[in-house]
Amino acid sequence: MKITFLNLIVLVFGAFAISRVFLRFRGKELSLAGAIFWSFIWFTIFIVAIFPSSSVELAKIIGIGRGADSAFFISILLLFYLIFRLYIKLDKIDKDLTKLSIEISKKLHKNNIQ
Amino acid sequence: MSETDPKIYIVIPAYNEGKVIEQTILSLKNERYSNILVVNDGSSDKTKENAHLAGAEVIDHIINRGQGAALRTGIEYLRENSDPDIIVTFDADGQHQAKDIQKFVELISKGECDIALGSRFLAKKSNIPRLRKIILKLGVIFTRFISDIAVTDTHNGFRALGRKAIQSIEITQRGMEHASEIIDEIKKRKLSFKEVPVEVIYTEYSKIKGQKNSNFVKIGIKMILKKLL
Repeated sequence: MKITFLNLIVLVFGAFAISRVFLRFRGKELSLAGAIFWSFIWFTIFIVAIFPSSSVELAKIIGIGRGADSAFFISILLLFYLIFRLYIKLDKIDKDLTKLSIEISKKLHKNNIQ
Repeated sequence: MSETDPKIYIVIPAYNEGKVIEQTILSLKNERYSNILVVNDGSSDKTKENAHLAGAEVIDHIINRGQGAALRTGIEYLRENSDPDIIVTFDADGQHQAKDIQKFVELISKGECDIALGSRFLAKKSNIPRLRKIILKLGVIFTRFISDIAVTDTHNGFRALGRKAIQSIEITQRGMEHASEIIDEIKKRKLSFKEVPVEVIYTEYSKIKGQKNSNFVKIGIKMILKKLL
């Protein structure tokens, strides 16, 4: 088994992403099901990086003729991670906004009737 | 009302329901329910004024945040300030019948369940449009799969919460997904529940104002994402 430079980048990046998943789960920003889902995704990418031949097998199964183009692969990887981050952030902002408007409403109403 | 009667509060989330809110509140008053809390969810019409005119207490959302958020405001406010025995959630658009509340109150007062859920499918009278019926049935199967709980009507805004449910249920979904979330919470908080047959009247107004059928796909996706993220 020969680990190329590209494999190494994916491995380091994958390890970083898994650590983020774990930290988010610990910080209660991610549910257990979510943590399992994202760990599974990154773990699969890990496996593919260590055993590139598995991706050829996968490519055969889904019917892609040639192996993954490295630039495309890294771009998709990055985009995937960025969307994941963006979704979490957006969701948090949306929840904060709701909480804020609820708290303001309750407070204003309480002050008004006193 | 005697000393031993439960303290019942009706929470009505309302967004641009100025045309019907007054009538909805009066129908509740006719059945002698006096603690009515309308959560005006950032309406741009006369919902707030008309609800006041009809004699309800009104909490205002500065911006529109959705029905789930409005219910959360109402339930949290009562939990923090009024010590309610029972909170009934009731739609603003006149679909629900005030006379049905008694059935919910009886179940909770007798301690038969922590939360009572209205079901339009257990009642014979409801005039549910066919497509809506199919979608609601799919919702029931979906909820069974996602929340592992068997109910006959997941998206009915008519329900009553007893003390345990009032204290424990947490609504985090601000839109219509809150209805599925409440079912999820029943399972999570180990609450006992019963279903109550309720008549739901679909008027031309409520069909226009109510949820669009396509919304249910969005609700499904949001519930799956909630589980994953």
